[in-house]
Amino acid sequence: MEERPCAVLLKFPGTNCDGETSRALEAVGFETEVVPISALKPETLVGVDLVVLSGGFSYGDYVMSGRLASLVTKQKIGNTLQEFRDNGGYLLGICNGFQILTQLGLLPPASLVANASGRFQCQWVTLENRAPTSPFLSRLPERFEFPIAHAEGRLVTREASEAESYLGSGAAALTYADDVNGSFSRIAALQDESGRVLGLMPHPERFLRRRDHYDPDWQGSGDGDWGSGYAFFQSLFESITQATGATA
Amino acid sequence: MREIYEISDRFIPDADANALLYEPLDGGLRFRRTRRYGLFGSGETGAMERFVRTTLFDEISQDLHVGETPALSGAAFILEYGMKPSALDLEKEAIVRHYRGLIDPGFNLEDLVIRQRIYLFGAAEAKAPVERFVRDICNPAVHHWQVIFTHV
Amino acid sequence: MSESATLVPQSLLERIASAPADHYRVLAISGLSDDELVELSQAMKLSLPLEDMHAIRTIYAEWQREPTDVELEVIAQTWSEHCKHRIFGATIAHECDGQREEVRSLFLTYIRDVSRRIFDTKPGFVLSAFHDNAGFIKLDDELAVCLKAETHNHPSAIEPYAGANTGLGGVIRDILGAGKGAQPIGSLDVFCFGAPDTATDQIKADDVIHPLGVMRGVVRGVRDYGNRMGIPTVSGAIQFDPAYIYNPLVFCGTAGVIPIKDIEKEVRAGMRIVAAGGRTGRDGLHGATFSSAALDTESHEEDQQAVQIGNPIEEKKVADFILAAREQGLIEFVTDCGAGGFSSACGEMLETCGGVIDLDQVKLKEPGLVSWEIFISESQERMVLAVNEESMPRLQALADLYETELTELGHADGSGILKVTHHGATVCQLDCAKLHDAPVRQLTATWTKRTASIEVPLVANAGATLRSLLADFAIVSREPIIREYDHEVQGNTVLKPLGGASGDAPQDASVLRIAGSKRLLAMSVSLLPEWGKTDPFAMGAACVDECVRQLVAAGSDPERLAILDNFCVGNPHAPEELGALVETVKGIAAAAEAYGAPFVSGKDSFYNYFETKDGPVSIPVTILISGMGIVESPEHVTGSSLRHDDSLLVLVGTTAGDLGGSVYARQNGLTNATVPATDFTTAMACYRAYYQAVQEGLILSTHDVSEGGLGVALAEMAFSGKGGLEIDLCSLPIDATAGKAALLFGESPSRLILEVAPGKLERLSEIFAGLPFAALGHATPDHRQLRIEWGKEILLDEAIAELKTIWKSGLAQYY
Repeated sequence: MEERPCAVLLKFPGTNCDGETSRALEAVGFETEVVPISALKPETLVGVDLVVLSGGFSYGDYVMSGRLASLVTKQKIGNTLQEFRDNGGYLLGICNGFQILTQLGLLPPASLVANASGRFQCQWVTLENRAPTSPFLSRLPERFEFPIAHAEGRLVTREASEAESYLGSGAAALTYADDVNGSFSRIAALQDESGRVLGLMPHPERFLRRRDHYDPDWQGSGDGDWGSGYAFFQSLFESITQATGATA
Repeated sequence: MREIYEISDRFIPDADANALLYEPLDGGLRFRRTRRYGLFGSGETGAMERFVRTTLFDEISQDLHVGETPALSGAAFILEYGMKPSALDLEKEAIVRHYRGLIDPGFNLEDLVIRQRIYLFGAAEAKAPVERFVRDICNPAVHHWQVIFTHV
Repeated sequence: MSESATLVPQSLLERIASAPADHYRVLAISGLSDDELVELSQAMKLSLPLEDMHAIRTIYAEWQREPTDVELEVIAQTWSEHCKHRIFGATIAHECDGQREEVRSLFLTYIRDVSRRIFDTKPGFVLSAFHDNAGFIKLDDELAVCLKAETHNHPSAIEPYAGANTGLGGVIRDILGAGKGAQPIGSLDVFCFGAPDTATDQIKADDVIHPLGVMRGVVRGVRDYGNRMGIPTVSGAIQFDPAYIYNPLVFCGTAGVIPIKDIEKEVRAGMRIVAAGGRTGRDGLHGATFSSAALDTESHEEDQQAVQIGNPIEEKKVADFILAAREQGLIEFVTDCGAGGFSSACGEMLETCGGVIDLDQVKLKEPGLVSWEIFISESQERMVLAVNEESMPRLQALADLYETELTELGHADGSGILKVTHHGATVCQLDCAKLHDAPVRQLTATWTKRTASIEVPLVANAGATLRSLLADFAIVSREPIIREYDHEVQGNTVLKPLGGASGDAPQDASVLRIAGSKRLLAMSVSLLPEWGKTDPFAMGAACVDECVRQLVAAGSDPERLAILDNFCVGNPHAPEELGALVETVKGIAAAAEAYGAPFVSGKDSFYNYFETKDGPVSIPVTILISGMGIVESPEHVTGSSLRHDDSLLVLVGTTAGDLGGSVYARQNGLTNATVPATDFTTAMACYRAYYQAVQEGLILSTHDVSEGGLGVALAEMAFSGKGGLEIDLCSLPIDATAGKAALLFGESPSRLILEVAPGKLERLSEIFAGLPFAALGHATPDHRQLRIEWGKEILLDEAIAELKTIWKSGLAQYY
């Protein structure tokens, strides 16, 4: 019997989106397991296809968002995540998960700091798909909407020109169509060179179904009952199952 | 040895100080925040600074200032506050716990004191409305605080 | 005593206390005079009046001993207003317009008995009410949903951020402590503030935080707790009134979901009593009794200690632990540590069973707390469980997994006595049954109806009036605040607080998908304090009506609704204020019974008055009705924004001439206008017909008519930008007294504007045969104006985009 691809969601104290992120992954065909960080060991990732860092406020954003989570992770499993990625594994960081991935050094250098508005922003945004061949974005159109909900989503690089270079190099996988939070070059998502690591501030898991959209008449891509978030996870599912040869 | 490390945010400019207050004041005061970590211990100073750089500091978006003097200049006054020594400081606990998990940090950490600083800019006269900031920001149940006047 | 010695007068406490050890005292109360009893209560901040102190002295005389300080603190907590609802249980001699009656317990007569009669008409719907930390209704065969709302007023006046922060944290814990641990799924928050632009000289006391500051602190406090817990804040309201300057009100509510099999819980002898979550410290001491005292200038200084400090990450960890423990069947009983801390939680758990608690086991935030401080501390983020001994190892493993602390405090022993030990001594030994015998208060209430019908000609420029209403703080968009609350976390918010095609138009209720069920949960709130100033009965009725109609508008089944009553009152010893409360309670009871919407939980907050330089200022009687409704299918979820540019609009419900209570009346100084009454029978018939229409798929969108009347409601519907509106008021069902002002801006209850496709109107008319139902007009692609006519007369013709700008920007400069 064929196996379903397997996703592990790392849960830190304060991570709070793991429930709906698991649900979204399962909707497209993943088997999921939420692993609290206290139980994480290098062996946990054996046989796993995808590691997900979901949204939330890991460690209450002490010191800075994502810092303690990255330190604790390194302490527990050292470079296992890097090896996991190098051996063909996929890594996804959503919102706080994106912040943690930047701190772990798994993405091109960047940090996520306080929104230019100085406020928490819960709203829907239009995104531009700059990496349509990315395993995460292949089923998404050029422009689509996801909700954001964050106070520290402003992407910065040491020099603004670095961020600008990400537009050309492909590192910037998604940009905001409008200047939502002051991110350099309006970058909303970054991917690494392998293409198997993606971090994004918006929440695909919150737009799994058509009815999750704020407009009761949203039809989107005509994909029946599903929203753009489904397309996001479906892209990933297809990429992984093609890569590994496993089927749903 | 004792070392002070003060961290400021490179990309967060000064902002309207009224955001800190319950009731806005006139006067156009502006502010910036920093965090001050006081580490007490023995061993290599270099190791202590390395610990701070990897654990507490982000080289992309922050600036690190080492030593007693204020990290930022030009303020009329500085409000510095932090948890009372007897009060449970969960952030400090988290950092100390991480330190204890390190295999060979190269120094012995005896104590860690965390303070937030608010630098207030633009109060030209000596009569800065210090009490308002103290009242609205500090909670006497859990905080210690001090006000430092830097003679502009 | 020689005069040459330096005399330091001994305080009362020093005189009567003996200290068997340095961590508790025995207090000799048996010989105290009445004055001394009152003085003792003040010195210890017990907030107990003389009759309560007498009752305590009698109890101890029976027991033939003196109380310890721990015991007095426990009794004070238990008998505090916050915990025991002394006013709602009181006997009230009430006089209204010359009619006298005796009310024996507002709660029993108008809340519990009314609800019980409703339970009997729909058996199996309400699964638990007035008993646990929240009230439960049936969602489907497997799951139940629950709702609880609380107020956190006094702390929020002193420290707005911390007070509101822990207010939400507290009600979330109520849900975690409901049943064997319900999962929180959505929050609501309702605030009452002074206007943000209040002039400083309008504030007649020192050291009162300006309403703008209170608003900012409260909004941020609620934001930081809810967002960090990952619970969407989906519903809310804000009222502005000068009376709230000194006594802001903060209501926080949370809904939860739980398997039906996990609702019932019981503590039995032999079970271990275990604390989970945060540590215990000095923060929050006397929070419960603090809430029973009026505020004055000194409150800020002295009472900062009574404001708790919140840490949402600790609460998230313990929440994850509780839910996992419940799923594994390890929890026999759980409750939260809220008002009164361990004393209330353990007192409640060991009420029938009795047991022993050892304070030496409690993990402390700081050293040196004496016995009473540990036992009544209101430090946050703590839950108390009763578990079987054999479950302990698996529980500890779960606590380690979620990184929360677990402490065994004691055990239940079947003795019926609550015994507390500390450092080897027994510091408390109470027969819990005795703690329920708080003296019944005797109070006096009076109310005089005071309205007049007023003939109000329409102000010449209805367009200018509409603009003025849209700019009123009561009506402006709350978007700047709503966007600070994560209302999408958990991915289940199908109908959001701001929606429609543009994503920023106000919706009448919120609807949440429930994982594991095909049914959904609608939530809404209502409060109308302006109405209560002239007609509290009508206010009560209208609040229930508004909550019900919002739930129904969004797609709930009108037969499956449940509501909560949360009251905030000024001085219950002022007969007029108590009279207004009595009339309000009668109003909500009448409406609830007529609509078959039972109360399943409620809370009250008294002493919301402030001693200013010019005398005491009380808040108006403020009733919050919050509610939940079962939505049978995602197809039924109905928003409030215009969807198509060829739709027809109809109005359900009768428009009366009464302008009382309306924003229009307030803006035009009409203080004694008659407040509209609610016609329950017709309204319920309309709601049932509406639900029939929803089930048949006839409705595109629905917006209820509330603040600002029809004019504002139509503008709000059009904010989606989908079309202009052409409206003619000629065919509306009205009563003879209604002039154009009332037609456009009156706030008669029970009215809904329906958007329907042209082909569906006929069937819709059939469904509403015999009920107030009339064509209002239609949408149009030809322009983006709101055009309202009366026959040939154009009453107003405004650009929707301009109206929207006014509405959107009203609060932006303040928040």
